[in-house]
Amino acid sequence: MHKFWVVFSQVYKKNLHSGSWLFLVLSPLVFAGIAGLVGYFVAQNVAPAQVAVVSPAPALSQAIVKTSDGDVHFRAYSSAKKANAALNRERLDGVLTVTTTPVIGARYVERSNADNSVDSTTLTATLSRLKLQQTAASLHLGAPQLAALLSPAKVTTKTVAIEDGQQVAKNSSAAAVNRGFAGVLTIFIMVITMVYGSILAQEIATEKGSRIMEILLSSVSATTQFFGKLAGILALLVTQFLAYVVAGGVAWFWLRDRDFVKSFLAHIDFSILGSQTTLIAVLFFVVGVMTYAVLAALTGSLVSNQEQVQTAVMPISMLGLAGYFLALVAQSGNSPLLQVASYVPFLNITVMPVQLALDHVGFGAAWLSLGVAVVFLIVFTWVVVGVYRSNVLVYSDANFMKRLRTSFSIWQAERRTKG
Amino acid sequence: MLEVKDLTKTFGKMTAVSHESFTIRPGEIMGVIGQNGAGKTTTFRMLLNFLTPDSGAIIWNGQPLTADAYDQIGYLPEERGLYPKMRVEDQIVYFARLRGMKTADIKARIPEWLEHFQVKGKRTDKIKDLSKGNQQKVQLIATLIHMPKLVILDEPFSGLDPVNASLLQDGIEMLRDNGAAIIYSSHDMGNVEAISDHLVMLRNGEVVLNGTVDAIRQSFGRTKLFLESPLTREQLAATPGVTRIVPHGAGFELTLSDPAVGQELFARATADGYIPEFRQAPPTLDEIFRMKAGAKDA
Repeated sequence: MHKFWVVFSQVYKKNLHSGSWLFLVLSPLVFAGIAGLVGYFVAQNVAPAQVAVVSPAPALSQAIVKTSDGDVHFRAYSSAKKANAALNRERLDGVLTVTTTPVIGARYVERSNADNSVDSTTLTATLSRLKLQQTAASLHLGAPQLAALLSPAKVTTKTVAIEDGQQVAKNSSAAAVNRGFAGVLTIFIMVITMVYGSILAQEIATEKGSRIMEILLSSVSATTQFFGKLAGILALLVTQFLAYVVAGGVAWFWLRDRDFVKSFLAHIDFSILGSQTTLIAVLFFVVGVMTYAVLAALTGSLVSNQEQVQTAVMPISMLGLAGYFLALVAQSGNSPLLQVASYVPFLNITVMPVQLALDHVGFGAAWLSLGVAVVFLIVFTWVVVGVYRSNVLVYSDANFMKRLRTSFSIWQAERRTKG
Repeated sequence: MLEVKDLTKTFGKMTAVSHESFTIRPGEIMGVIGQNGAGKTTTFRMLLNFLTPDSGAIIWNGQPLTADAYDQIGYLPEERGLYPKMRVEDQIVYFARLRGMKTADIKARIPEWLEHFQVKGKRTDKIKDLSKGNQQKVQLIATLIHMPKLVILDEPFSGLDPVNASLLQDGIEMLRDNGAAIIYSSHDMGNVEAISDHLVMLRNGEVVLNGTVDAIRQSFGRTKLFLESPLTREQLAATPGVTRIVPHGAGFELTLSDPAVGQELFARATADGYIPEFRQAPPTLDEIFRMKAGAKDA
């Protein structure tokens, strides 16, 4: 167990200090920071329009002032002369002159170079409401009657998904959110599995190519070394997430009271994050990262020299990209190809969560595919651990598949000998 | 004590090692010689548990040699490798920790080892910034710093300049004096003759020679004769039992079919009294190697 931690900490610390890992972790933070700052400055510039209200009836002026919001800020002026003077000095964006006889009406004068133009329909709506109240008062209507008069006709909407020929209710905004969620998920799973797979493949390939592997395997068993490395890489991944959780926490502490953040978050339905879809996606992600890491260990250990290190990464990139493109195809519609790919190891990691998020398949199919992925991971790991030990002895310039076959036959011969 | 008993390893139809047996006692240095493909590396890989023998046993201090003995092993592969971007100290610490040493102990020992091997460079330097010779020294330190009890060195002298080769020889002898059993392979018979107590020669996976260097040489008899005398080349060539004559300094180097021929030649050469040279010796290791390697079936 002690040597497991020696290997683990070596892999972890070495990569923690590496430029490529730091870039991987920091670049999304930098982008998020830039996006945040841009959003902040844009919001700063969207100040409410300053509008003077001039009316013979002070009560009416006050009623209008009370309707000030993020778009328009009304201020009562006692005379048209003062208001116009302020407009001339460009302290105001416009002057709203309200008349009360015979009924409420208004005239709005706006500077052509106003920072923020006021939407005339907003003004009309505000005044209409006041006029309605005034009329209601003159007709001696009570509050319940007024409310009845004002209440709009009610239309309810319901979005359904068809699962196994049955209608299943879906949150109306969920469909759009699902689409976005699926898109983000695809890119996320692809990038993380490919990047961490590549780190591990390069790590092992470099050791194999430089013959360090022989020294390592004479000090610590292949199995211990294998799982030590795998755990080290997964710890890096966890560290990356923790970095984002901390960064997110700090950002939240600073951002939570900002208006633009509030208005942005109001448009997002977070219920999907607590759903079964998300649980399955997270499980696929975990299984996916581990499957690709095991593949990386296999391809990395088949390298013969330093020049071949890049070839170790290629199978990972190819499978990762295949999964990514299939997931993209899924976003434009379902097809038999996708139905099959949803169960194929390596591809199902990205395809199935997307198919699920887009309601192309039900939960039963998703759990089944997840089961396939887990069983495959276990068998694949068992084979690779065996082959990994034989691979240290395979040095050849033959192509990847031939090297794999050689290594596989050594492993089988060893198993026979030991048995 | 390492006991290798009747070891056989085949790869398909190819027999890499066949019925190989030898013993290395603590404080003993065993040289393994043989041409490329003779089975040296396969033997080492079986000792290191990379390969499982088809039959036979490897016994270390009375027990089968397994992963439990990893901490007592020091192994230097034929092609060396270090992490180029790692600092010298971190590199040595990592390899030594994998052999079960504690970080503090390793760090305490590093300065004396760097000094012993005259490494030019600081412990904070990156490996890639050192010269090739100094990298080789760091590799040796990383192999030996945990004072292994079983040292396995695959072609340790290849690529070393004479100064580094003698430093390596010092290191090997230091471990031997410390009671380690050492096995190494080499193509350089000079080194093998100088430092090996014991010798095994492999040919096509079979042990063709096994014993102390001296005993092996003596077993071939004193068939080499270095002679400087009034006898002419023609006279020597006409002597029965002389199979080969090569000029050697002012005289000749003769190869005899029977050591007894030496007595007859001595009598004839000294018939008129004093001669400057008469030396009858067994063949050198180099000659034995070529003789054995070039023999039938080679």
